[in-house]
Amino acid sequence: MKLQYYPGCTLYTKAKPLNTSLHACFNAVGIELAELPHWYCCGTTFMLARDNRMSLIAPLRILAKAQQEDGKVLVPCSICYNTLKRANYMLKENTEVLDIINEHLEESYDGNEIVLHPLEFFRDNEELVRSKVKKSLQNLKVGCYYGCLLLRPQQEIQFDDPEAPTIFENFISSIGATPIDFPLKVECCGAYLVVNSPDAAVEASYKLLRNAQDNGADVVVTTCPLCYYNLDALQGKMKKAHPDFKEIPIFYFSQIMAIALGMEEKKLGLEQNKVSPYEILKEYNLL
Amino acid sequence: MIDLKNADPHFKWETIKKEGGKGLLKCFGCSDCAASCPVRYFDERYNPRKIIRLTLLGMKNEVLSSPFLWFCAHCHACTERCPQGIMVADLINAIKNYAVEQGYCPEAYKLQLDLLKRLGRLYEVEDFDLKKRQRLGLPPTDKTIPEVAKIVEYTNIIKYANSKPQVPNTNQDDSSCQEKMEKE
Ligand code: SF4
Ligand code: SF4
Repeated sequence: MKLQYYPGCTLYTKAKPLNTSLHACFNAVGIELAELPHWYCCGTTFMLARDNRMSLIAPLRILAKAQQEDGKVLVPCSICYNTLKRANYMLKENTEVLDIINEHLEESYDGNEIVLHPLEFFRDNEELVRSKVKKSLQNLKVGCYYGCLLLRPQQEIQFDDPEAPTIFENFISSIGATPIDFPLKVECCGAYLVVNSPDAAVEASYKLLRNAQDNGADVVVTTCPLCYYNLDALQGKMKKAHPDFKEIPIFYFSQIMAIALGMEEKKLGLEQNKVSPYEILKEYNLL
Repeated sequence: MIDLKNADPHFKWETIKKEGGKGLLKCFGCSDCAASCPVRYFDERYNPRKIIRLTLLGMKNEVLSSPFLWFCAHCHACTERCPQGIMVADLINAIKNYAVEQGYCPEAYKLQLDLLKRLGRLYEVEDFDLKKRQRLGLPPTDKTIPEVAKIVEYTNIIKYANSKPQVPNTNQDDSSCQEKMEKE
């Protein structure tokens, strides 16, 4: 089976490990990820727009292209997922805007493409995932960090309960690891404040990692390249500000899954982690 | 204390006309948004409710010149919890857009606008990047995209962003503004 797939820019640059491990996981469950033939940046944020029409053009073109190929498209990056889904919602709700944009483009789009996150796909195919697990991760306590953009605004995203989601924990159980619930799993990591007020992002990320540790997590797992960067690369700064902080490895959900499915190490992209994941993986005999 | 002598009664009406601004009048001041806001963990001076209340009162200069306006991480925690169903994060965004139109644009964004105008790109493509592309088997790319630069010019945004003097820079402590926010 083939699944159409929109990687987004970061999966080719900073978030390469997410890309390679995700491909490995899908291959392992017998699905080929078919990349959209032509794709561009989704636009990421709506900053500085005097109206939102302009920022809807890029998502609309991507969705229109995707629709020509297939009725649904897989989007692994939380930010792209949020942007495409919000755009989809707005275009569907506001046909006036949809018409205006359609008029300006060669493509035309009706608002009906389904934007799918890998976690949703794995939820719907849980048995398939379970049947492919090769290594026991039972002892590994995994803090499931959702962040903001997968969940909010719920009305438009419709991913899971925005305050008490469970899809990530269920996914972690389905690959045989032990999910850890922690109150700040839906809290913001500081996002792009890291550009303008880096200390803010350090504090925000520190607070939630600390919370995950206090609840027993060995590692923290995320789906978002920006969260990943803040949680992983800022740990040096967290340690400077809070000397008693103990570093904690961060993974993409697909990296943990690839380990459970018994993938060889070079498909995991672990070498890009700033906080070394090797000690904990060796401790539990996972490498 | 807020000095209502300086209030601009049109401010709230102009704000609700902006994209994302339409929920403004529904705010009943419960502070759920402020209680949910993660930015407040590290800087108490940022407060979405305060921004909204000041907007409703018409304190145009205070709101638009405030560097705190730019502290919002757009995490939508407030949006999710607002009992009045206001899209709070989008509303803050609307006020940011308004601020830029009035010439209150942070330096960091002005630099980006300048790049867009000069190159049509946010990142300068250097020879180094071209070599890197070549190594990856990618075709060379244009160093500038004049069409994009033209669109930027057409939107007039640069004129807006540069239209008035000094701009809040969120990295610096703007004490006068800070006092105003604290006084409320
Ligand atoms: S939560 Fe909503 S109603 Fe309450 S203060 Fe914030 S914006 Fe106003
Ligand atoms: S969206 Fe902005 S104002 Fe709302 S809770 Fe997040 S950071 Fe605070």
